[in-house]
Amino acid sequence: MSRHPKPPSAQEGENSSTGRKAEPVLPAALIANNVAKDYGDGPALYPLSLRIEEHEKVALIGHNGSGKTTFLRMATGLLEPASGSITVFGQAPGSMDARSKLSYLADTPTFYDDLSVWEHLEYTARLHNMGTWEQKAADLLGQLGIYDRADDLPTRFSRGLKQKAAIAIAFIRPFELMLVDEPFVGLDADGKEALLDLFEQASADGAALVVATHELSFVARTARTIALRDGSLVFDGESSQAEARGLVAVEGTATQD
Amino acid sequence: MESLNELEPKVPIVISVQDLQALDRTDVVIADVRWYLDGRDGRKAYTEGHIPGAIFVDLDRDLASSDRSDATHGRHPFPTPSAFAGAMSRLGIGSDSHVVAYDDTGGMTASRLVVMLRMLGCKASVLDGGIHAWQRANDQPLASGKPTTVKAASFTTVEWPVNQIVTKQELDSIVAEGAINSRRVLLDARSGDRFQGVVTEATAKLDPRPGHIPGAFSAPWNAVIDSDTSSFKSVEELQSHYESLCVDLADEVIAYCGSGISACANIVALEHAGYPTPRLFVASWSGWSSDSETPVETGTATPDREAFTTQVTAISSNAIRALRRARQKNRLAEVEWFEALYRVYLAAFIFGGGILFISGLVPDQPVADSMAADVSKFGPGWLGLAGILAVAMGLRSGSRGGPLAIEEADVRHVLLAPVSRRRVLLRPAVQRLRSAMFATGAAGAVAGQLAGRRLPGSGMSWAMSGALWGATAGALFVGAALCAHSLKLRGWMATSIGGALIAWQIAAALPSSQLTGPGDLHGGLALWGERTQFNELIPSAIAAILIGIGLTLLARQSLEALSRRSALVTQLRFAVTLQDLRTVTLLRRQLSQERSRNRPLIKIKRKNSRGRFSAEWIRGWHGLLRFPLSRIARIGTLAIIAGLCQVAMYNGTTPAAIGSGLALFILGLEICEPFAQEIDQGERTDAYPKARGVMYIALLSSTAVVAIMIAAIMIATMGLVEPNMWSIAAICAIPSVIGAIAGAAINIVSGAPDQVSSTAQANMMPPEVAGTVSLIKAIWPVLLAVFGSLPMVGARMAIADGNPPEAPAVRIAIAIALLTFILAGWIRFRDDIKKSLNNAAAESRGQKTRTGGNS
Repeated sequence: MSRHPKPPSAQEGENSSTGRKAEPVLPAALIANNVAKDYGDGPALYPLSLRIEEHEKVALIGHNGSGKTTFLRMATGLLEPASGSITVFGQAPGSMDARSKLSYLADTPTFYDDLSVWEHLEYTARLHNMGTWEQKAADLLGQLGIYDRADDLPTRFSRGLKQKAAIAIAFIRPFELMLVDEPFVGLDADGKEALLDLFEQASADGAALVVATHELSFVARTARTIALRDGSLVFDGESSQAEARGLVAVEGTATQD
Repeated sequence: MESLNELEPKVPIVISVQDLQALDRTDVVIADVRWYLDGRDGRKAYTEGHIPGAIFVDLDRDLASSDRSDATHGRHPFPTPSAFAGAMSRLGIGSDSHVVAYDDTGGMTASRLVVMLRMLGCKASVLDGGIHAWQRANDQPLASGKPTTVKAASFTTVEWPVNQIVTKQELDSIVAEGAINSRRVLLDARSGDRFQGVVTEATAKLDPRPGHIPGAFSAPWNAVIDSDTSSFKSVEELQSHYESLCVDLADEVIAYCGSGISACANIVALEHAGYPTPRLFVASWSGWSSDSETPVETGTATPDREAFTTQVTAISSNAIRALRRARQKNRLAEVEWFEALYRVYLAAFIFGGGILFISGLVPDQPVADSMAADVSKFGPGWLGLAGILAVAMGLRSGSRGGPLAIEEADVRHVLLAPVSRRRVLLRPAVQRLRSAMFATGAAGAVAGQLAGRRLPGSGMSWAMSGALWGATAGALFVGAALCAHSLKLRGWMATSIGGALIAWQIAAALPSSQLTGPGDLHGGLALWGERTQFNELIPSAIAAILIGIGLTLLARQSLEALSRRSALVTQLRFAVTLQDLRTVTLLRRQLSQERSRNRPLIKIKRKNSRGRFSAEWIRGWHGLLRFPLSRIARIGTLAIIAGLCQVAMYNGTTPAAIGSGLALFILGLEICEPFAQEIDQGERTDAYPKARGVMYIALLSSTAVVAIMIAAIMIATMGLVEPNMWSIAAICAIPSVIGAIAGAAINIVSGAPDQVSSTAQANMMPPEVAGTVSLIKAIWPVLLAVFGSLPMVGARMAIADGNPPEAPAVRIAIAIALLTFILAGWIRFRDDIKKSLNNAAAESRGQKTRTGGNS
């Protein structure tokens, strides 16, 4: 379960080391400042700046190769920005503080070869110092419909089941910001419903969510949509506007070519 | 303009007189299509006598275009769709009519009308036997009189379908490529003389230019018609006739003749015999030969089915060869020649140095005669074990999908293409055989040369016999594996047969036994340095036979096994080159399909896992308890081997320390599994709110407990073999295992990526330094494991000096413990150390670093 943030204190602003005149700054979950990435055969992400506030639910849309995964991985600390900076709750990505608050659900699920689903959950929960996690684990597995597979090895699962197991592992531990990369791929209708519910619950509990997806039903439930195209930001605003601008098609897939 | 092709099922293309009479006559139109090559008048023949109710179709006027401006369209080009529709309509033939066409030749010209109508999707059939058959079957006389005007019928104008007609341009390219090469058969319906280009008065009139289309086969139209009855020959006769023309081997048949008339008889006969409808080259010879530029052939053409198949196969083989050449060109272009040569130089240097070193260890004085006699007597038995092991391993490998490894791209594209699998797999099989025989032969030669320095006989002859012995073993392995795979030998059967053979050979090799083992002859090969017995070549012959069988049955290799192994083996080779032992371990497991157990050996009760123990400890046990039995057996065997080596060390064979160290190192790689899993999943580790180093050490906690169990096995082994060793065994076993685990852990963790970006440091080093560094990185963990076995060496030296062995052993053991402690500290703190080093370096360079590591 995520903790509620402390209210911003004016004193903290005045004591800031830059010595500037303090302005009450709302803590932001994620601040990207001209962050860019180049993989060597061309820029994957042009300098990008944005702010994700706490409790925000944001859909990140864009075609394949638009830079969504690159951006998310830089926010988790798995990639180094070529230039610019990213901070997560004011800390560098990959720092201990950031790790305990940030949950990352990658686009390809990976697992240990020698642990069952339940043991994965146990390991993750205990590494996050959760006291009683069993009930939550059971609830998660039940919601995702894989409770009866809890003792099986996820490396042997089909793509869809692997995705569900990965979702359970991402949600079992406490987080204040969740970065999600294409989670609806491979899920059946029940799985999609379950995941949408989980996002709702997480949001209601106060977590910030950034979900890179093509799934319209999720975009429709967000207030804010960020659209990338070919590594640049092309839209950042109300989700309903995104639909109006033709960035998201009525049928349910992002239309960017 | 629509296509009518998707209408009701087509009527039979050849219809007998009886069937005609049974038809519903309301929509049947009987058409007389008589026409003669020699210029006689078909209309006149109609007027003199025709089937009652039949209309007359004028071939020249109704079935051919009047526009002869383009000679390349031939003498009887198709009329335009609208002209044809008009002609049909005028004749009273509607789109829904069922036309039954006849002539007096058995179908030469009637077929033209039928083919044209069926192309447009209309119902049309040839009357089998024509007018003669009708006359035979009917008492009624023929009707006579000129063609009368009939009521016009409605005939929809439809475009001629391009997929059933061949244009001259298309045929130009087909002929240029070669008919066989494009898997097509060209059938020429003209008489044999015209086909061959025999120039006579008759043929010259019809064919100004003699000959036939290059690549065509002669299929005279009257060969499909019975000359007595004028009916089409039976379906069986037709099939055998067309098979001799390779029709069944081709993808497509194209029919032509002089002007597109009699070719239709071939088309009708082929469809009647059940073949797919051929395409018609309407312009035919008259169109083809009108252009003086087009190539022609004369003489006979023998359709050779063998040649056809071989040609087609040759195409595939050529394609494969071209593919391989192109890939090789690309691969070589990418190879950094300097780097490749450098690696070879380093490898040769090390290898050669290693050999020299080992030879130095073997003293040069010749052995006593009694020892030499022992070698002659007992050698074949034990040396034959190599051949038996080769067969056993080969059978096992084959039953699991080996020995071949094909690249994944080849599996996907080439093996699923319509080319002979045997041909594709031949080259990889030969390569495998070659490399196996080379490796084993070279090893045998080296061993032989070393032996030859102490045994009577020249070193060279010993080396050669060693090579022969080794190469035969290699060949036995590959041959057995190929056969086992192709004959689909089951795993359990392979293990049983292999185990039985090994047990037999060992039983026969024991000094006290009188048995002859199956491998004795093979073992004798190694002794050819001192005497030759030609019956010892029998195992080599057996190997050759096995290989022969294996290569012949290559097509039976399982595609599933090949594709499973393909990706794995490529990665495995790559990992071995990089000395990436962890990847090698993982890939070897996948190759032998060794997986974690679904149900752990002992289930840790869920309520026990709370509170007291760390997450890593529990996780470690979850992993260890999922070891498959094969892995556990392997670990146990390695522990026993290490124990035996230590016994040998105790008894004076110091180099056995290497054996003990290696065995325990490999064992260490296995039991460090929970730790290694965490290294494998680096991204996951970086997401936990715990420092990497801390987690790594914590994950080794369960491994430490297993180490104690391993030490216990070693002590038991040593104690059972050498009862007065107990105390020394106890002192030496634990440091050996700990040292080995430390070495294995270092090796595994050095494969983990650096968290902090290490910039261009690696590129600054000169190649010798970089190469040596990577070599040291590979060897250092193994050396560490060997060091772990040193206490026993200390004990041995003490015994040799007459001192009590415990004290030096304990001293060395303590040194090893300290070393292990330091290494554990390194694993724990390496990230922090690297970070502070980097920071220091960066600050001295005057810039701040970007950190992504622990804070």
